[in-house]
Amino acid sequence: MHDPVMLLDTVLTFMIVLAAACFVVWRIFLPVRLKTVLRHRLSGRREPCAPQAEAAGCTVGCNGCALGSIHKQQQHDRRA
Amino acid sequence: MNIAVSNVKPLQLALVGNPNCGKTAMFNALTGSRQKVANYPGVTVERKEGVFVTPAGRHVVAIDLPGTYSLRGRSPDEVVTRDAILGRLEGDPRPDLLVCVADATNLKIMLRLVIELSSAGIPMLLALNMMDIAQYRGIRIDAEGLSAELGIPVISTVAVNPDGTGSLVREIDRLASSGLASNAPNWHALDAGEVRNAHHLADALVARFVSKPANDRDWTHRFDNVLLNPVGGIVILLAVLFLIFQAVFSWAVLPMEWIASGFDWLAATVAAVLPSGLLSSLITDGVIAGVGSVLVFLPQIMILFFFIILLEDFGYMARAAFLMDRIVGGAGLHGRSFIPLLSSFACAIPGIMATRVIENRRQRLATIMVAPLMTCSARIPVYTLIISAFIPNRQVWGFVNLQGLVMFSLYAAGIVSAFAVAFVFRTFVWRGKTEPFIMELPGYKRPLLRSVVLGVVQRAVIFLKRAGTIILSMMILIWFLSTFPAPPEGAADPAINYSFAGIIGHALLPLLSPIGFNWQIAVALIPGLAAREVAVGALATVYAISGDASGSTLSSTLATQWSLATALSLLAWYVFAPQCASTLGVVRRETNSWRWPVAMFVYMMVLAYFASLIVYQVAVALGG
Repeated sequence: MHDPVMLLDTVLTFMIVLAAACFVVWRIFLPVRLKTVLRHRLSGRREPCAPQAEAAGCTVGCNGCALGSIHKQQQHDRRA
Repeated sequence: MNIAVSNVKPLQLALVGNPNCGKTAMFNALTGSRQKVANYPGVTVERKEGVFVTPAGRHVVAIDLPGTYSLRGRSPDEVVTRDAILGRLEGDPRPDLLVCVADATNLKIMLRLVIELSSAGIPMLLALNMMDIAQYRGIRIDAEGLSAELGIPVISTVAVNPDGTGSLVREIDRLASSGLASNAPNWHALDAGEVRNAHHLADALVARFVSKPANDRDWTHRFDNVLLNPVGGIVILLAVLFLIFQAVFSWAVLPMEWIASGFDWLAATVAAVLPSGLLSSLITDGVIAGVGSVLVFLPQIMILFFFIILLEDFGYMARAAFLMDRIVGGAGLHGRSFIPLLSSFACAIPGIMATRVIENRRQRLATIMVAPLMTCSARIPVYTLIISAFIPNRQVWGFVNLQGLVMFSLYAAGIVSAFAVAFVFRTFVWRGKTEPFIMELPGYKRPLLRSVVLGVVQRAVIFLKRAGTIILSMMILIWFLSTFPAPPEGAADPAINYSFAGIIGHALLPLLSPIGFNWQIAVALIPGLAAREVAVGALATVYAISGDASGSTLSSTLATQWSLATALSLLAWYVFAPQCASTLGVVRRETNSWRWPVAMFVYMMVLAYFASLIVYQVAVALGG
């Protein structure tokens, strides 16, 4: 391990593995809300407010509010 | 060209119209966007926004809304349209101008909507889209007369032509400079009498301002006489699908070999340049073997989507929905379920989102729950790998490629299982009457080469992006798990047996050995939960590190390492297994509950396990 080439080889390899692990955690395991907060804080911007109920609409694309979900009420409306 | 850009508030413009009248094509033409368009209703289920600058320098925010026949908002996508027009979306201003996009070959239904939209209190203009087709068919529209009668400008457009929206943009400029004043909306849900009156008024407008030739040059009815025949139509549909899968296998052989050779060369070059060590192993065994084994399937994915987009643009897919209605209805699903299920062939995520067109809650839930059973493009690498390893590439009955036939059977298995599961759900969980399916069949259109090529390239880019991001990262982690910890001194077994991957794989073996899976498959199934095709790369990396690949292709390695029973069992697993975390996330979002993604994961996992168990045990009993 005293060989500088081998040391560089090992350091580079583990840096690549660490970067891949961070990317997988970011893409798969972190919830969207937390990612939005982190992204805004890292870029020095104020984080947006939390998604609201369906009243918020889909102004910036779907952010997981209840608008796109299935409402039991629809069934009653239809029958009425 | 100098453009004076104004600093005034951007004009909010909403594109509204019936389904499949070309709103998204118009949106793409105006904003330079590349949103998905297809020749069937229900493609757009979300509000989309883009910006463009008019020749006069006016900034315009264009909003593409899902298609609707009225403002009643019977399904979630129609609610979005109604609320956007009436300004009921919080933080989303009411549009300054409505561009009512009409299919010029079928004006009546749009005129009914225009009459209803007039109560929204927003200035409007009517764009007669697809005027080129209308003119070809000899349909004449008195635009000036219609404009005078409706009291709004009427413009002819051809959204798919490069200069087909010029007159529309100029009219938007003219209206904006003359001042657009909105009134308070006075819309209310129309009662039956008001709906009838609106229909009569639309009929009268069409009678006065639209003339059709005695001999229509439209071939739609002639084609439909053949393609919608209850027996002949089904036979043609099956034949079309069958030929597609034959082509997927036959045409892709050469480009797949080129890609595989390219990666072999790259691996050899890297191994020669880098000193032997961890980094060299990571790049050759992890990145190149793993990502390369997935990328090799790019030609097959492109060929499959070429045909799907071609059929969509031609207008055949809507006919397929019509032909399948009896089967779909028999399974307890709404006829509108066909389009979401069709979208799921590309990926279950847009398919699940497309269920917003289904107004009935139970039928929508049932469609969401079975959409992942349709064979998505992520399964293609897995299926192709196993088929090419275990199914001989020969002709049967003189003209049928056996590998293509097996692929076709796997797709058919996905479709049949989706309908069977839907039937079970609708019989035991969400009981209720199946509603009749009413869909306006689009006219046949000559597919535009540009649109088809663009669609195929978009799918290829999506696949390459996945390969370069999540699949690449997963392969690096699989390499790490397969390499560390190093074996103890004097260890006799292969080094990978002492690694984290080996330990995990062997721990799962008791659970998976009844279905014929070895520990390498067990290791591949875990990252495969993120995306199905990752399993292929994971297998390539595990076999490369263990030294079993010995320079041969992954396909030939598997042919020597696995039994036929194991291969068939894995195919059965992938027909059912819920191996996609993103899909489960979207189900949670669309149902606003964790209950349904959990239920989906459990039922699909149970189905996958028992299907694999039966297939494996039967194959072993038959000597496989």
